[in-house]
Parts: sequence; structure tokens; C-alpha cells
Amino acid sequence: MNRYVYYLLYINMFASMVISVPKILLHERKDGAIIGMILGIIAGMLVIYAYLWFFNKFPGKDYPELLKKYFPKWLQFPFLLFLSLVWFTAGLNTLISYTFMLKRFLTPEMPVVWIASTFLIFISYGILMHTKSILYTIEAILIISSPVTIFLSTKAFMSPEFEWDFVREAIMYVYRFPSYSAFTASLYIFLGITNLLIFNRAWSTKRVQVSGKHVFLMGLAGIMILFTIYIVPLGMNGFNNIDHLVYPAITTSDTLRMTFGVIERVLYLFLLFFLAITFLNLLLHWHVTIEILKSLFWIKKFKWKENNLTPYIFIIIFWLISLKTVTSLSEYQLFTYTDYFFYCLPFITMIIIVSFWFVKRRAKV
Amino acid sequence: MSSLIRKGLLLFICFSLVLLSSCGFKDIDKRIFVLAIGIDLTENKEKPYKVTLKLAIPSGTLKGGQGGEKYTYVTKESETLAKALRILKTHVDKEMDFGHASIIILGKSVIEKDLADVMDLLIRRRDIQMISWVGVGEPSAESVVKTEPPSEMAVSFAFANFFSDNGVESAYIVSTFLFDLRRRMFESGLDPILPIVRANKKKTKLMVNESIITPKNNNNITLSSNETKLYNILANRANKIDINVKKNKMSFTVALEKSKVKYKIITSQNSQPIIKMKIKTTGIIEESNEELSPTLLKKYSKLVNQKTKKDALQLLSRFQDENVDPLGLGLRYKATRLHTKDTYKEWTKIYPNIKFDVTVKTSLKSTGTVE
Repeated sequence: MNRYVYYLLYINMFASMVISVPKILLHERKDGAIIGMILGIIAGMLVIYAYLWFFNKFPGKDYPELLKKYFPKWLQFPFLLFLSLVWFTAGLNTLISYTFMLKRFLTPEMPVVWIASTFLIFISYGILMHTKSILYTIEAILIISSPVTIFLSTKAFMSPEFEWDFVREAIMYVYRFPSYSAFTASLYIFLGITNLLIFNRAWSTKRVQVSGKHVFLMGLAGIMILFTIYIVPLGMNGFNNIDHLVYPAITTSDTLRMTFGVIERVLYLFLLFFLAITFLNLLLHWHVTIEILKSLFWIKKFKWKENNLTPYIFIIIFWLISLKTVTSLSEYQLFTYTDYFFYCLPFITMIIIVSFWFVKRRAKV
Repeated sequence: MSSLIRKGLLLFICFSLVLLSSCGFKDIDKRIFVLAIGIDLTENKEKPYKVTLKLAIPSGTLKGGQGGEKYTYVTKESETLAKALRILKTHVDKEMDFGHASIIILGKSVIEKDLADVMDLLIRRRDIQMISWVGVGEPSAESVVKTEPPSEMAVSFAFANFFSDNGVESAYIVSTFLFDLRRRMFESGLDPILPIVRANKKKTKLMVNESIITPKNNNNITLSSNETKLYNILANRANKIDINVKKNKMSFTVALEKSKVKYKIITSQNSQPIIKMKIKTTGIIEESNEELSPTLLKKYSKLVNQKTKKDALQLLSRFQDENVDPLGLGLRYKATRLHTKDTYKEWTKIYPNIKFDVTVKTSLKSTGTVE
């Protein structure tokens, strides 16, 4: 199987370890988070299976291309525009939450606009890259940073201050009606696979394989990540009062201590490595956005020395929207809107999967 | 993309990096590092908080510390802690950096009044490490923070050596991280315990061998050094424990290397609830007033068992009588019962009547280098 498919998934999993997902899960700890997570895992594995199954049939083709071929004309345009909006929001959410977090912990004296701009400068350069080059970037950074993230998680589990009784207390709340927001949050970590919509075009010779083994391996990674996200903050910070933490994952990373490390405070190491991963996730999301947009709007005459300038218009729009939202949102609003965004995700995923079935029937493969 | 645009973009990026470095960056010679924070409460109602900061003066060489001053101190009374810190910033010519403050000393007055109120600022501020240690200063936080033991060197900070397990390793020291204090303060079924750091009058010596339990109802209990040691054993935190056994004329002391404690809470409808605790230790004999025979090691082990059991039971029943729970027994109760009703409320009813059943299993390995 193509290892890059795994990367797409893992990037999203690692990136969601930091901000919204743990916050939502821990908020629901008394209202059915555990069952919600289990349902999320099952649904996530089904989604993975559906995507692999579909793109296995169309090697080297991206979703907009297929849609244009097999979908009624009046539906193509609004649907693709809607999808690009969803992907843009996902990226924007990552961008803003990470900007806020950096402002809070790493560079408190720097204005928010500047932090967001540094992100945006590199992102604008990155999303214009060729799809394949993006995959190579992901591979390089993931290989460097994933051992550190795994090391930090095991370090938390091995810490002498880790109190398993808090975790057990959380498990005692298992008999609750599953929470919908916990379900959506845990489904979200599996949705990295949805980037295949565009990234499938990178492999024209090697088709995406579909088999139970791959789905299981991907699901297992998801289970481990969810386990870490949910359990480590509980073990270090207690159960009853943990929803008072604004950034549970980061406060938890601050409870770890590397006695003989160069940097004693793990927090900074944690922030830096997750910064790299989040940056990649943002890159993926917005690359998908801009590719979908490109398939929709392409002004042929808008050229300057053999270069079509249409993508730059999109980038300018991205900048404007990002800088506007990053200055106007408050932390609390961000978290509420993220919740709403997560609520919509299961429906959107459903719609896409139904469209898969539709396309497949029309294409007769 | 043409190469021109690429180059243009690259130039733009480089240019913006130049702009970035200009904000928020301060050279290290413009900063001064706070090593310890001391907080006292005063009698003055208008300015109840008194903050003392220990600041490190950088010196060029390790030996440079011998001649000149190594530390400087600033103190301020104010109506809020945040204001005190802001005003203290104006008392030194450099930007204060709290990122290296690894010790927080609270005056006894603080824990007698309102601990949560004072801790709020420390927990809320992002630059104060959650892995800093918290202790209680006697006679006051100020005098403890200002103490400079002669053994303290420029790069090895005395307080940190007490608590970090890299310097001193002792069964008499309880070390509590800030995040540990936070969870103990806010979680039910687990009470905060803090080490008491005592300074002598001349401010030349620090002693850490007692501890204080500060439950939510502010009914503080001081543990003597022996009790602190036992607490450490029971909380599975101790290494290098000494236990003195006296029987008839014989008296010997063992040094325990390792100890492991496991316990279970057993409740059934008809019988009295019971906590079964098992303590497993290994060690050697360190001191004795008569000749010891290696064949009798089993007998000595038994004597140690009896003694430890007696002490442990005494401490546990003291906790029970005072209704404090630094070991987290209540938490364990909540963690092993399905939450279909308010399990903590149940525990508060059970705790006063619970029976302790302690079994100690010591295996002495040697009589030391002589018999």
C-alpha cells in the first residue's frame, strides 16, 4: 500500500492531539465521552474503508475531475464550492487556534496579526507546490517529528506523578448516553483520509489498495491517539476540574519534566514539534481547497509572462479572511465555532460518501 | 511559476523575517531570572499580600560567585498579587523572567487563610512552570526565600536540590509540584500535602523534614518528620527509609531500599468496610547495639514488620480521625465504583468507620558489613 495514504491520516491525527479534540472530549467526560469515542472509532474506520474503496477504482483521478464527468452540471458548481469552503474552514480553524496558542505560550509579546502572517507567508508558498512535492514534505517532517511526539506521550504515561486512579474514575462514567460532540471530535481525527479527494491524483500508476488490514492498521493508530488524548490529561491534571483548563493538552505537557534534558520544560519542545505537524495539516487542507477552487475558476486570459495568476487571487482572499477572523475572534468564540464545525462533519462526510456511490454507478466500474 | 516570481516571493519572505525579529525579543543581558517566589499574607488589610522574589545575578565564572553577591531580593506588599509583581518589575533595572522560577514558597499564613485564592495567579499565569515545587515556609516565606545556605553554589540552587531527587534523596522530604497541588486542591477524595521548609534565625540553613496537610476545610494538620516518612512510604514515594526497632534491650535500625504499597477497599453490605493494605520492602541493617546473627535475619524482619505495621496503623487512624485524605483513598473508592450515584458522598460516610488492615512484608538481606 502506498505509504503516503498513511501519512495523510497520521498528520491529521497528530495535529488534532493539541487543541480542540482533547478539549471537547474532556469537556464531555461526564456525559458519555467514552461511548462517543468508541462510536467515533467505528464510524472513522468505515469512512476510511469507503474512501479507499472508491479511490481504488479510480487511480490517478481526483474527485473534482470525476465529479465533472459524472455529475449533473447544475450540481457540480455549488457542491464543489461548498467542499472547498469546508476544507478552508478546517484549515482556518487550525490556523487561528494555533495562532492563539502561540500568542498565549510562546510569543506573548508578538501581535496576533504577525503570528498569523508568519504562518500565512509560508503556507501561501506551500500550497502552490505540486501535489507530489507536498507529499514529500509531509514524509520528511513526519519522520522527524513523530518519534518525538511518541516519546513525549510515553513519557507522560511513565511519569511517577501519573495517577491512574483519575483515569479509572473517568472510566466509571462509562454508563452514559453517548455524547454527539465527543463522537464528532473522535471522528474528526480519522478524517485525514478525506484529503484523498485531491491527493489521489498523485498516484497514477500505483492505485490505492483497499483491504481489511490497512483499515485495521489505520484504525489502531486512531485508537492509540484517542487513548492518549483522553487519558494523559486526566492522569496528570485530575478529573473533576479538568474542563477549567483552556488548553488541556498544553497544560499537561507542562506537567512533564525532563530532568537531564537540555530543555527541562517539556512544554516548549511539545509546542515546537506540534507546530511543525499542525503547519503540515494546514498545508494539506488548504492545498485541497485551492485545488478544488482551481478546478472551478480558471481565468485563462489572466496571465503574466506565461503564468496564470488565478491561484494568487485565491491566496489573497485566504489572507484577507484569515487576518480578519484572527483579529476579530475571541478564544471562547473560536471554541464554540469549532464545536459547530465538528457537528456538521458527519453529515458532510455522509454526503461525500453517497456521492461516491453515485459516481461509481454512473462510471460503471 | 516563473523563476522571477519565485525569487520575488523568496525576497518577500526574507524581508518579512527581518521585520519579525524586531518585536518581542530581548537580549539576555536585559533580563533577570526569578528563581524563587515567596508569598506571605500580612495583617494589613489594605495590602494583604507580600511577595518576595529571589533573583539570580549572573556571574561570569563558577568561582565568581565566591566574592560577590549571587542573589538579590525584592519584596513588596500590595493589594493583589498581580499588582505586587508589576510593581516589583519597577524595582529592578531588567525585565523579570518567571520562566525559571522553580520554587514557590507560601507563608504559613497563606495556607491558614485561603490557599486557592493565592494559587490562582500562579496557575493562571502561563510563564510560571507547572513543574515548579511548592513548599510552606517557616517562620515566613520571606525569610525562607532569603536564606542562603553556604553550600549553595552559583549554578546549583539549594531549593531545587531538596525536591528534585537529583540532589538530596530523602524519605523525609515530600515534594509537591504545582500541578499536583492544583489537582489535589480541586479534586475530591485527595487532599494537598506540602513540605515545610524551615529556615534558622541567621538565615544560613534550610531544613525540610516535616509536612503539612491542607484539606479543603482548612483544617491544617502538621506531620512530624516521622509521620512524613511514613506518609512517603504509604504514598509509594519513598526510597532510603530508616526504621528503628526496639525490643527488650535490643535496638537496631534498618535501611530500607525499596518499598511498594498496594491497597484495596473492600465494602460489602453486611460487614464493616475495610482497607487491605500490603507493604512490601527490602533492606539491610544499618545500626545495632548488639551482635547480630545472619541466621536470625527472618526474626529481625518480623520485628521490622511489627514496628512498621504499628506506625502505619497509627498514621492511618490519625488521618481518619482528622478526616483528611492525602493518600487519595477516596479517589480510589470513586475509581473502583461505577458512577451510578454520588460515590464521593458515599465515601464521606464510609471513611470515618473504615477499618484498616495492614500487612507488612520485609525481607532483610544482610546485616551490613559486620555481623
